Amino acid sequence: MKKSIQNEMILASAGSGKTYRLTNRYLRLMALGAEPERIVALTFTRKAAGEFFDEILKKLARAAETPAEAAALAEGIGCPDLDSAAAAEMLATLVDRMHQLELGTLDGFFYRIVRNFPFELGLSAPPELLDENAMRMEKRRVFRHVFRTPGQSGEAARREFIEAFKQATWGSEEKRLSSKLDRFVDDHHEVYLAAPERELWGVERRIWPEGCRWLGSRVDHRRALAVLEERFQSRKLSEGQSKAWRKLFAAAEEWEPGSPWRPEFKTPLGNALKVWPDLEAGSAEYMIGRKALPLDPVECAALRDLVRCLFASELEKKLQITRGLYEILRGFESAYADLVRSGGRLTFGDILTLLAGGADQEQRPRLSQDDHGPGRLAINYRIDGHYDHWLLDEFQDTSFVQWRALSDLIDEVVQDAEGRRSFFYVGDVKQAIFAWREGDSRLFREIYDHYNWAGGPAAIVEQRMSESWRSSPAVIESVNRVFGDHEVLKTLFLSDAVIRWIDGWDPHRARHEDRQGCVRFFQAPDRESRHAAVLAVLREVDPLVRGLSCAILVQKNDQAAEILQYLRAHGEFPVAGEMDIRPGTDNPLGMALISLFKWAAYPGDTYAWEHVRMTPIWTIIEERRSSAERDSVARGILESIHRDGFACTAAEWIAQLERINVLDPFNRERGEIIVSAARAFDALGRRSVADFVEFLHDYSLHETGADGTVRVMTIHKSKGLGFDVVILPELEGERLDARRRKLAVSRTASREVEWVLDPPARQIVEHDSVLAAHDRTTGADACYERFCQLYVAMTRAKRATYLVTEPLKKSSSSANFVRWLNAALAKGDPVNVSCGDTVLELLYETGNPEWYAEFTPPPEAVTGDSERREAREYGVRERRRRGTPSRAKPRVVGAEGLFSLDSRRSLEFGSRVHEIFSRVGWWESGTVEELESMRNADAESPLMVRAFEEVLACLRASEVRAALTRPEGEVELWRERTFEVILDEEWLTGTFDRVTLVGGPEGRIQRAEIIDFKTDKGEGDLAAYTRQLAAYRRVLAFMTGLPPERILCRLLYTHRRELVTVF
Amino acid sequence: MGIQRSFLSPNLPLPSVAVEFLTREWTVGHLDLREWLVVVSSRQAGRRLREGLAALAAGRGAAVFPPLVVTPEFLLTFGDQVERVATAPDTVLAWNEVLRGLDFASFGALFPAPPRRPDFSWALATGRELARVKRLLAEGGLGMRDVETRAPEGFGETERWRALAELERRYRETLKTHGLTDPDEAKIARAANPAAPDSVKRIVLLGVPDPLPLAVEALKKLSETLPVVVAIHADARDRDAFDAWGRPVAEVWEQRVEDWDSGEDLFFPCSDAAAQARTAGLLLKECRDPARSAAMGAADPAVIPFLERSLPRDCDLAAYDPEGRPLKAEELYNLLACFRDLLRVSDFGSCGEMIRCPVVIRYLDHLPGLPPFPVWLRIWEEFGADHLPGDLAAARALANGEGRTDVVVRRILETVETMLGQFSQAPVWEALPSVLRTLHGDLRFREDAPADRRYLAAAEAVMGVLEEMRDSPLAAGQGAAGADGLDLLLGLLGDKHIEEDRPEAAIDVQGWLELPWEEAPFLVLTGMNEHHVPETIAGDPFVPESLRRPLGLKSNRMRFARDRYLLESLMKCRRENGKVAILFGRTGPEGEPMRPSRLLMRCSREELPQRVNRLFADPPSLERRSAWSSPWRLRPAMATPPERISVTQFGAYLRCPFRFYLSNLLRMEPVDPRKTEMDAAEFGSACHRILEAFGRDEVLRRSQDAAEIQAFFESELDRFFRFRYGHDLSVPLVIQKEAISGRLARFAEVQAEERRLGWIIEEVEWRFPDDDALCIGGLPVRGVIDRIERNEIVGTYRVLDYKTADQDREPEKDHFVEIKKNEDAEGVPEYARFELDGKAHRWIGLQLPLYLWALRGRCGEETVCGYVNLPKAVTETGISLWRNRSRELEESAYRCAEGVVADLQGGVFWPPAQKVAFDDFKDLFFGDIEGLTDPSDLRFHNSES
Ligand code: SF4
Repeated sequence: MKKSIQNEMILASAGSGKTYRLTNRYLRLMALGAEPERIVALTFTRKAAGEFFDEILKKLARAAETPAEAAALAEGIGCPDLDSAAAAEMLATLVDRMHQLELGTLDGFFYRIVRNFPFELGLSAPPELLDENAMRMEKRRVFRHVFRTPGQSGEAARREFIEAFKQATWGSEEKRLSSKLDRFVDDHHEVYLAAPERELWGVERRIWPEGCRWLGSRVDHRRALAVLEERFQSRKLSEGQSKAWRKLFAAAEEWEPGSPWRPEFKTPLGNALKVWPDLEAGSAEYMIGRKALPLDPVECAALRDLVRCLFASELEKKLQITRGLYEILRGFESAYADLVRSGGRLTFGDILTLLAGGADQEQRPRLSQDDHGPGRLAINYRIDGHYDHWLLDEFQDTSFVQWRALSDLIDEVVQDAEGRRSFFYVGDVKQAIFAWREGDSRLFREIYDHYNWAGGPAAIVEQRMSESWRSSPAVIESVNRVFGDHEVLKTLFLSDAVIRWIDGWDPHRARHEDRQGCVRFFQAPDRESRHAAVLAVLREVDPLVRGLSCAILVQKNDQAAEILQYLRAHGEFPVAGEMDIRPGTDNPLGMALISLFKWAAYPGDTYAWEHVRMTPIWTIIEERRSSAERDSVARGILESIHRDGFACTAAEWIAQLERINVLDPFNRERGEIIVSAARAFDALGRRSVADFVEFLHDYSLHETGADGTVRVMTIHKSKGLGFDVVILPELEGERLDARRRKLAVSRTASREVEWVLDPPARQIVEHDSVLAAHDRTTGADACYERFCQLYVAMTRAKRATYLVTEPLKKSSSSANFVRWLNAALAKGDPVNVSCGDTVLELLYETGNPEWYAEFTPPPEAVTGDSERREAREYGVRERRRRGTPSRAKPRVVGAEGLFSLDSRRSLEFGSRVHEIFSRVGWWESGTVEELESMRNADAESPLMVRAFEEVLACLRASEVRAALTRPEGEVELWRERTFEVILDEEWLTGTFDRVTLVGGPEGRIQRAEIIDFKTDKGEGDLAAYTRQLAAYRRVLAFMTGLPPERILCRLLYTHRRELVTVF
Repeated sequence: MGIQRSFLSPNLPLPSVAVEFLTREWTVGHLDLREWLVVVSSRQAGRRLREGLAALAAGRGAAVFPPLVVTPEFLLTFGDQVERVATAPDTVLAWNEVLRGLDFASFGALFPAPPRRPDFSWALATGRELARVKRLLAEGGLGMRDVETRAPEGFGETERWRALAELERRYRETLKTHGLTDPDEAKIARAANPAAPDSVKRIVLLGVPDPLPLAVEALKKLSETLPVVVAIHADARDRDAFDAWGRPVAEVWEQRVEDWDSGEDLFFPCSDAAAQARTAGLLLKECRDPARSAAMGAADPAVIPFLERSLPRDCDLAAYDPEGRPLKAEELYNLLACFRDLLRVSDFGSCGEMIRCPVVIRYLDHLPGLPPFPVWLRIWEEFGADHLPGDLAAARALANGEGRTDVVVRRILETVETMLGQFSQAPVWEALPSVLRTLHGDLRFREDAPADRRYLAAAEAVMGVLEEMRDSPLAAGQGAAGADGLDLLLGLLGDKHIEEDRPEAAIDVQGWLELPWEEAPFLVLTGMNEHHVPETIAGDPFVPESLRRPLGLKSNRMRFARDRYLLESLMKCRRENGKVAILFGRTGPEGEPMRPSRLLMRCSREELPQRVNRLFADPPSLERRSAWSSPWRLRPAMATPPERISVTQFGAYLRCPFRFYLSNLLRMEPVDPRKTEMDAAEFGSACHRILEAFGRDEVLRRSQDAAEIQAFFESELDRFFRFRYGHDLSVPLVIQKEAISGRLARFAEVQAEERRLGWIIEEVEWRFPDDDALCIGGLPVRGVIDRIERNEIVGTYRVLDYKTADQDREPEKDHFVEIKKNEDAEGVPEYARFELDGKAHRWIGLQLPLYLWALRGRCGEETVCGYVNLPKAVTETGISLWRNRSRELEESAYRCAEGVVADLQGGVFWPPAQKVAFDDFKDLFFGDIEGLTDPSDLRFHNSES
């Protein structure tokens, strides 16, 4: 390579041209001489990877076509020499090597590695990738296994499992197991995989290496209560105090370790904690019933004991629950590993675990390109690729585990002494909205720091990009106000989150300074009116008519569905939801088909049956019933499912519904999806209706919006996209630091799990330094992720953003999006503005509210009749029916014959007999001896010997001998003569066993004889044989020009040594 | 003798020039080509060739004595074998034998991480993989042992291949001890010493662009004694573009620029497979006689199902896949899989799947002692739901248990177990046919019925493999019985296909390599995507690309050259009288991006940018996206008028008359086929049963000793579970049992305490008498009171109902609620409304008032009533009484009951309630009950109005 290339880290704000940089980097590498197949570029979605490749190609194509574009590209990638010719050259290279390029997803890359190292990773064969649905089915199988009544050996394991379950659900007995277990596994399996060691779960000394302030006091809380009760009885408590005490007393008296933490504890215990040092000192002013109550040393001690006991019991319980949970997960996991994973059926998660290693880091395989040493997987040889340059996109979403799997490979690159290789990663820590999927945006900086310490000052160069090529100045202004106002942030949110945010923040600038646009912030009293406001905005701006793209972004899928429904009901423009749909069950047709199938397979399912009866399917069943009973309709459905599969059966019933004309376009489209989903299910080779129904319930698709529609989607899905107009009507919600995780998982700086605990009541968390610290971190992380979410939402717009929220509730102080936006944007009271014919309350506005005026609707395109092309005429080639006269197998086969191995032996025997007969020319005196010597040569094979015996026996019959004797005159003998002929447009293929042609003078054939050998033991199917011989006779007549009556047709039944003349 | 190349004109399709080539010497008489051995690329190609010959001869009124038309494989298998060649089961079993009990320690280079469970299925899968590698090497005439010596300089996997060679040695050794030789090895040996049938006088390799390297070896040998012609479908001027065996030379084809017209109508980018199918349909429609003049190729098999679905609709033609249907999709395969599953796990659910297979249904239907279908199936289902048997043994125990009358279930179980028994007693090739014969009984299959024919073909495939298994000398020891045997069988069947009949009006959808033999002038190529054409191998655990080349195996480069050549000849032969349309998708089945084949970009440098723009342009959107709508309104059927009403049904009606109609009158109740534990009702009724037994025990019900009471509960609980669920409880049942036990334990204390307070049980499970007095509006009211107690001290009565919900319940909340301000009070029927503390309320349940009403006269005015709560939080266990009871309230309740009955009898079931706490019908109405229901049949059968 001509110039060495820097390793780079790029922090690219939204809209600042990340893809542009990434594609340019790729092209620069190529321009500097890198082979494209030695560049690996990985991102998160396959869609993004596809767009990335297309973009590179198109850039090159443009540059190759016009010198001006070439010059622009040359400048963009910093290679001034690049001209159109060079671009064309690069384009050709890229196209030639298309099959070797490594442009894809991280998951795909890892899968490729695992697929090629099965034995190294302890797998049996090439692994099979489980999709969501297959994984759920496997999980159910594992559950069934875990649930099953075991034999003697399993009894202990089962008991253990049950004990663990009881422990994990301590204090809240469960009467239903399946759903609970399902939830356990769904919620915590990942945590288990990251921390499979028992000593990490609910172990006191790991969580509190210095000892826990609360644990250890094992006095009975009722004793403390009794002391206080007795004391307070004798003291004059005010009415309020007395009431408050009674409340606490009653609650604590009833409370058992294990039962839920009581809300009654909150204030009185909180007040005790406030004066804890005084309590310890033996004299305290204790607030109870809103009045201070002085306590003496005995009372102080008792109150202290009470708090300690309650806290200790609760913590003790949580430790136990955590341990129980661990045992359950372990039980599940080991069954899962045995039944699923070891068979090579893996999820993407499993693949990562294999590559990154579970907890035991020493054991993990190390990926390498340079080293074949032990414990190393030398990837380049097996995956047919060798990579010098690495480009990682959306790096903020990379998980630590993913990074760990890659890190050895990257390490080889960064440490490469000769600098022939390079590493480039790009992303935006402000758009880290996938932390809940383990995205770990802290890696960004850590990697940078790591290498820049280790490899000299500039191992990796940092670049920050904060100029927006996407958004208008108005949009950027609002972004700066919301996200750059650090004072507001500090007053509202956890400081750790704010500090982290500020660290990644640079004020944004709009590249297109004169781009018209606006941001408007409305408030509306309730959900309904929020939706109405959306409609009003859409009507006013009228984006589709003006040729502008428009999206409505929401937080959750069901909100999207709701808005979609609202706009479809009230709006007059096309709206498309861009979300995960359940096409099997979100429509009446799908539900009806499910009921139909269930009824067929589960005749006791009256729900399904009555549902079917409510639909027009009933009409069809009624029709069929006229000829059959209702039950046989059900049976017919089952038979059809088993015979032709679910896809065909569903298609057939859909066709029936079409026939009676009841389907509408929407359900017709869904019907298509259902049929193709069913086809995927059928391919698994299963026919279980229960499985199919589950499959259809789970079957989900991502629906994408088309151009020319208002698109509704979640903020998460909008990442990476840009729209002219963005509306944000669903910003309501909980405080930003609300914790998402159900388990507290503490990790070290190197992300190793230190301990796991099912967190106790908040009050306890707050008063325990270890738990409180962990909780603060979790809260800050949650909060930061939500900053990112709003950031993504507010940076999607190219022109205008419209925010719609409900008014801040006086009573609530929770620091959510609405509060934040009010604090950062709204100044003063709302003003009424009209938006179309609706009046809306405006809280904030920037830019030109009528920015859209410059976009006038394009003149109606003149749509002439798109001329229908003339039907084309081509030459034709016939496809003839194909007939084989010898297919004279009996036309009807019974089970006896079909399922007996002996009948197959006789088939083989038959072909041997045929073969031996074909060796016999004319019967002569030496024929028998000749055959006998052949038989002796084949004495090894009993089958052959038997066949020879059969032929010889036939030859002993004089009738047969006569038939095989040479007739007088000019004679021609055909043995095993195959023919092809077309007669009456039918293409006939067959083999004559034996044909004798007898000619007269002048070589003209006078007559002929056909003999067909039949080796079956029974009567055979004479009718079929007759048909067969008739066909042979027809063919021979054609070949010889003989009239059919001159052709003698005979069957030789070898078993009976008998000749039968048919014609 | 020698090898000669001959070039067949590329301007006509291969079949016609091939026929022309073979008939050059034909003058008169029938066309007799018996001395030719013709090697073509596939069976389908052979068929096309023979049809072509027959057609040509027919044109001259002649017949054909055809040449021997074979695929290259033939050259490697024809001739006498010294040793028996191993069949597929032989080889699988041999690998299995080698791998089972392998000393992993000495195979560290191959298995650095030994498998978790080196069992039968591990060996099966691993053996399959090793067999794949072996087959791959054999194509080049190599064995695993040869790799080390041929590997390039600096080869990093020598140790690993040594280990593989050792495994291969053991494998061959295993076969050898049974007098067998590996089929691949046999081919290698044959290639060095090939034979041809005596009748053959000359050989032609006809239009085969990539013969197996081994076959080429064989031909080389044969050419010493027979003349061999290599016929190449290309212009003689291009002679340098092919090697002596007609293989396109990579160096030439990589450089070659396309020379066909890539005008307007050549490329059709499509968004996905469905769009490809639709576009293909439109293209066919533009053609006058598509069935006879058009053909279709599917380079990406994923497009085929979409074509199958859309061609019949869009242009009235069936799409015919000559490959056939996968055997896996056949009924019989699924039946065998059911047997396998059942033998593996023997659980009740798998058995249920099996008895739903049509042949099994049919068989059971003819079994003496069983009621007709679906009655027995329903009985089976109910048995499963009631007793939740874990496996067949448990089911049998339950069905045979004391006092059981589950004849039907017992009969089915016996039948199934008899069949299963056969598998444990005999090898699969004996057990399975016998079971299948029994099951199919006198069923007959007609060869001329398409479905039957498929069944026959599947059965024959099964029997074929079974026969090979039987004949395998290796089968004796291992893997022949039970589930393993079936696994082996299913594995061997897994990749087979079943040919289907070609419908009259159909378009063949052919694979890429079959297309040269297609003559149709209009050719629609679908799936022309990178990775499909040319097929690219990226990575391999054993033989990656970089190793393939030194070993002389087929490489990506060779495939590229072949496919580049094929595309050119497909285009060329249609230049004059035909047309090609090239379709490709831009996204795959899971939304992944796909690229057009790089074969489509072999234009000149100058044209390339434009070509790229054309191919990568956004495909037109064919997708329709309609707004949600319902095609119909659900019209519930008419119901039978009720003969009685239960006390709880009043509440159901009050909460929503429409849902009441569905669940109580139409009795809609779903079946959960995956049920593994008691549902809420069963959980409750289990508690009831035990408390009932307690209440009936003369002695114990007087007890004030909690421990004694609890002991009684425990033993009753045991008894109950044993009776209902058998001895061996599944995990969920154990846990549920313990939950009940916990709840009852706490209640034992409450019971003792209440007893101390003087309460004594008078009645349990007191059934409303069949008494005319207990009618409302002429409708008898039914109910069962869980417990009636009398206080020995004060003499008053107490009426109690057990509640086992998770949360404790208060009687008031279950019976009435306040009508909220924003609620439409008018919507609530007059009779259900009343005032309490000056606020409007409505009844939502009448259970307790109706208890009191039924007991009036018996228990007196001061009778109290309420619930015994047995919730999950044991601290909440206890008695909860209806507190604000009053005469007035009771009367209002009674009036309400009368109103309900009147409405019920009057057929008032509409409108539905807007909101209910638990909606069993949520899934059916998509949140809009009123809009999506047609209520016109909401009435009784005999009501005339
Ligand atoms: S196209 Fe698909 S759904 Fe239609 S009949 Fe064929 S397999 Fe069944």
